[in-house]
Amino acid sequence: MLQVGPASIQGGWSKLAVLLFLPIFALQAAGQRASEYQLKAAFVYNFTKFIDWPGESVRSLTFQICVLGQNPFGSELTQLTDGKVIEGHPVQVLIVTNYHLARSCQVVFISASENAHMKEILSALRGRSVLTVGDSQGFVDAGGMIELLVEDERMRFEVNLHAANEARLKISAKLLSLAKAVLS
Amino acid sequence: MPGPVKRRLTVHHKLLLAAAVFLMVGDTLCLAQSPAIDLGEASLEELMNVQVYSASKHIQNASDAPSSVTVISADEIQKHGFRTLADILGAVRGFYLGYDRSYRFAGVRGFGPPGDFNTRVLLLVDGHRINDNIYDQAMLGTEFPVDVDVIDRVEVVRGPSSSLYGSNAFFGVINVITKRARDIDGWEFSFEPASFETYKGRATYGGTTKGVEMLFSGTFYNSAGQNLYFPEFDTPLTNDGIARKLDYDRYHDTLFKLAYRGFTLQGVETWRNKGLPTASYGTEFNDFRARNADQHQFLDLSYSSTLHNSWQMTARTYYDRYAYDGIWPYSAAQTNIDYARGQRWGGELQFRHRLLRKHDLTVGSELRYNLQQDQKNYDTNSPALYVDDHRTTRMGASFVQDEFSISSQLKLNIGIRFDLYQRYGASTNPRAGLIYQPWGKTTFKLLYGTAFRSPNVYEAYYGTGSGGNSGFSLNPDLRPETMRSIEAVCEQQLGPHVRLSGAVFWNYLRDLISLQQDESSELLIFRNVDKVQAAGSELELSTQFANGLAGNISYSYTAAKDQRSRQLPVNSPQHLGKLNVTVPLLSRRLFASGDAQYESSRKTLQGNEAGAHALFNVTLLGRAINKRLDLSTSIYNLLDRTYFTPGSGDLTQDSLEQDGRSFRIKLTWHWGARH
Repeated sequence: MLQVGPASIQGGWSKLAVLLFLPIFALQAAGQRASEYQLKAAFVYNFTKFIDWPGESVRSLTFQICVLGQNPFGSELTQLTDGKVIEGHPVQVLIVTNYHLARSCQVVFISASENAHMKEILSALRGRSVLTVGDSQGFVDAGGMIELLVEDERMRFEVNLHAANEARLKISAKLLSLAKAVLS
Repeated sequence: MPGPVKRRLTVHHKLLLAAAVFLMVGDTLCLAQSPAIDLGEASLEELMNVQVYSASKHIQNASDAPSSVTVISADEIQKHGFRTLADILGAVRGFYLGYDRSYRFAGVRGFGPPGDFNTRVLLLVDGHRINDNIYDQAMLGTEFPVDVDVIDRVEVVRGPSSSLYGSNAFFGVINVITKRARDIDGWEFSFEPASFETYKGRATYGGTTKGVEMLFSGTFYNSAGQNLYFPEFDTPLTNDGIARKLDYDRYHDTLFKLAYRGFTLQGVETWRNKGLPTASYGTEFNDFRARNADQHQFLDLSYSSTLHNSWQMTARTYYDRYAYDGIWPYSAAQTNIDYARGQRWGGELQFRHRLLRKHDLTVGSELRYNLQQDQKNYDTNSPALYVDDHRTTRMGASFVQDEFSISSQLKLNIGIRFDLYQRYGASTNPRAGLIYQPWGKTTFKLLYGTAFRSPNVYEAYYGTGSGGNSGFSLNPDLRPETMRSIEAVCEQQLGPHVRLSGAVFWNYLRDLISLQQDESSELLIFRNVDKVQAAGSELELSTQFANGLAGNISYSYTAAKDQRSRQLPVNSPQHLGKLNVTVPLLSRRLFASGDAQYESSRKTLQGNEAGAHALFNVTLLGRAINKRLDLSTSIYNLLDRTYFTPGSGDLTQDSLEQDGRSFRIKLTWHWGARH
């Protein structure tokens, strides 16, 4: 073990402290800003404006946006969609712990906590008119419909058009044009 | 330390403070330039131009972690009726508990020497170090500064983590993450009457005003305790061994948290007063004055932000204060006071960056100034100071960690941390983990790491002062104690609801600091003498179903050996079994939970045995009764088993009887938007 006495340590401490904290304000960037999940909640809600569900799929009184697994939104999603109407139904946000319960939702956000059995969940929802949204890396490759990702401090998304078509969900051309990548 | 050092310290403070103020001003200016956007009404194009500033809340996937991790959620805490952090840890694989009627102690994987103040685990609250700067104590019982009701989750990371966290991260890191304002979203009031005339009350508020998330919580606790019988003191002169009204426990906790954009300012204050019925340190038995008082306060300002090119930054600066007063009566005239005061100030900075989609790089550094580390011991009726020690010390550290995705199935996690202590020199600790996921549901981990614990001022400088004999001799030559560990972990997902995990570990601990008696002076002295080797295996099966049915069963086997005596160490049970079950009775409204803990016998200091025992606790929880009320009733030690845990060297009692059957009722009201 290297023994270093007090004298040799003291000199550089103040410089180190300045250097450590300097980048914090040097790299402050200006512009519109929001927290990650505030923004993700807004995206989830916005996607619904560009998608048409087949007539018979919204059978419940409410339009259900569900979060499957550990809820990363806190109350953001609930607050954001409060009083909103989609496809003629008032929006209801539900936290579900099981994919069987997710089948009756119109939108399911699959939390990263479910990564271990993502494929299983997606195959269980296959054929249902449920829009699947996620933010785990490789979500659209695994068969999810919309993957949210942060790139250069901005929110981006990728769309798996094949999966959406299979679920008989119509995604507008505008949404596809804004997507970073479209899998078809 | 002489004057110049102190002056230099104040210059640092000003610098750090200036940086912190600059940060806040800078951020306010940013806000002034750009009016806040209404996310609910914004178009998709507008949203795509909004900058993301906090990506730190991402959920860590436990199977990716280079350790064996257990997470206990607020939901489980409520369903199982856990009263303290110690209760929570008692249900975790590989942990076992002890209580000496003063503090709660946790042993981990066969290591828990009595009298060790949990110094070999690192306790964090929202990433803030709780272990104090005098004794290094991790507070786990009613002395823990945060009410368990305000905990969002507890992450227990097993194995040496000094490569990231430095000193004390020996057997693991316990990171307590508190709730956010939005998790409370309104008011919450809680009242708990319990056995032994125990009452606890709590009020919590969480809300958002003008973009500032605010959480306030305050707790009062008062327990009269029991009249306890100690056979060791069963003589007519010592009240036939009965300590009357000396098991009382009183505390109050307050916590506030303000979050604005990437900033979080958190303050915690706690005060706890515990009666001492055990007549420890040879004090008078059944004397009403005997008590321990602990206070802990801290302020912590952290900031996290995503910088250019997806660099993620976290900065933290904090101030801590700790105070301890032990009131030890030796006779009607002589009351001895044991006194400690600690203050510290520090800063941490961490950057995380994803490189080429294959590397997840973290670099960071830390500076810590112990502004005050004072210890005294004296009698109230005499000017003599048996111990009188004042210190200021500093440390600094840098670390780097890389998570390298070699392929989609194989990850390598390597890290190293360099710590520099003003008094003990340097310590370098590496960690390497190979994580292999050959197919989606199976994960293998092979982990290697070292850890260290620097000697604390109590161990090095609690000695005889100028005015008299404390019975202790100081030892400034103490070196850091070290540990080397190898662990293999296998995690297997069996279908969507069942998870099986197993671990095999080998720990080698060297230069362990333990209390000895000096041969010539007969004074007590801390020395780097002990070596302990422990090998073991653990197996755990967890299930979770959507309707709320959940269960968890685990078994741990540890073979530990004290290399000096060539025997099993004191307080080291070989077998530990845990069972936690929750059954929903009425869907999402009524839950019955039970937990069982089995421990094989442990050796005591005097070479006796504290026998094997099994404990059962049950809780019935009704949620959202009348929409606003949660009601739970718990029975602890359901079968009223008599059991003992080994006592430490300062006690006459070789082992201490633990609580028999006890009850608790808990009512919690919610008032807010969601309820």
